[in-house]
Amino acid sequence: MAYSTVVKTKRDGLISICDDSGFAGSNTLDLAFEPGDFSMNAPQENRLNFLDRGRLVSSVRYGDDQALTGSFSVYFRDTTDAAAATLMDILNQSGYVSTAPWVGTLGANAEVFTCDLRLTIEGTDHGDAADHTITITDVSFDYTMAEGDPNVITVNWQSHTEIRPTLA
Amino acid sequence: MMPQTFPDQHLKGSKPLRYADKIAEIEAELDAIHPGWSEPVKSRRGRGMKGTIGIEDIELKARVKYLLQRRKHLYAGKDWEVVIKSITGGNGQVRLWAMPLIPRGGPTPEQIAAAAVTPLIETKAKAEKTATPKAPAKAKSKAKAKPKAKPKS
Repeated sequence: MAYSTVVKTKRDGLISICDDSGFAGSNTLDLAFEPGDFSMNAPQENRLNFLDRGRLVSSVRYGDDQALTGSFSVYFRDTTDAAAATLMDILNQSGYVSTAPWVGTLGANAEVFTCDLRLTIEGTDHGDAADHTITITDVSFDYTMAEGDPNVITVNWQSHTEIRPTLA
Repeated sequence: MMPQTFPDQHLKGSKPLRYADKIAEIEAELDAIHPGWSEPVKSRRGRGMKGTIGIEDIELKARVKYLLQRRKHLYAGKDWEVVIKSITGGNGQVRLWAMPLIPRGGPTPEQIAAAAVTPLIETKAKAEKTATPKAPAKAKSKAKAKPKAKPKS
């Protein structure tokens, strides 16, 4: 397979969230009505530089892992629903998400509710060998909401088990 | 004149031995349902996406995307299953995405087997090479010093 020469844009993306049953399970939400501003920050391991009397020595080492974090925004459409998973129900673990229920990817008994998060990017329509995915496992969410034209929910996420996403 | 190159000229290439049969099967189906799948994308009519390499039929497009995605992962040595997401956007347009089902919870049974067997064979071979002749003698003397206790009747 060769390195694609087609630059991808927000028109190509799809954000999906799933519970422990995976992306083929029934507890999956594919987001729609969004500006297309998914972002990811992967600082990975902290790199430690050492100084010999003020000068860098060539003995760089890894320090602590740094959290894989990011954000995305979605236009507000609905709060809660008893029969279908809404984004706000996932964020609050309420409504259908709590009664169905969604099981966190760290297990039903885990204190922190986590999901898997994935950005899928269209590839085959551009002549690539396949579509492209960036998957982040065991993600917890926090969010803000702002009224406006339109109302917008901004979701911040962080992975609790990975410092690098799974690329496919 | 230099031949023009396209980004997807790589679509047919050397297959990894491990999944060669599966890849061949997929490519045969692609040849049957969408001939020319490995040829360069020459043009797109009109504005926007007209479907996977020119396919308008959603079901056929989904199958082609599924096969292409499976094939990509098999080439990378990963026998991952694939799911197709069909999403109707705000403008009513149906779009398809192919995504892998990445196994959770550590290595696959094949990886465990490979990791368990290979080092053991190497370790055993090394042990045989480096074994000193005194080792069996020690074992014998230990056997003599500590005879097995007879089971009580």
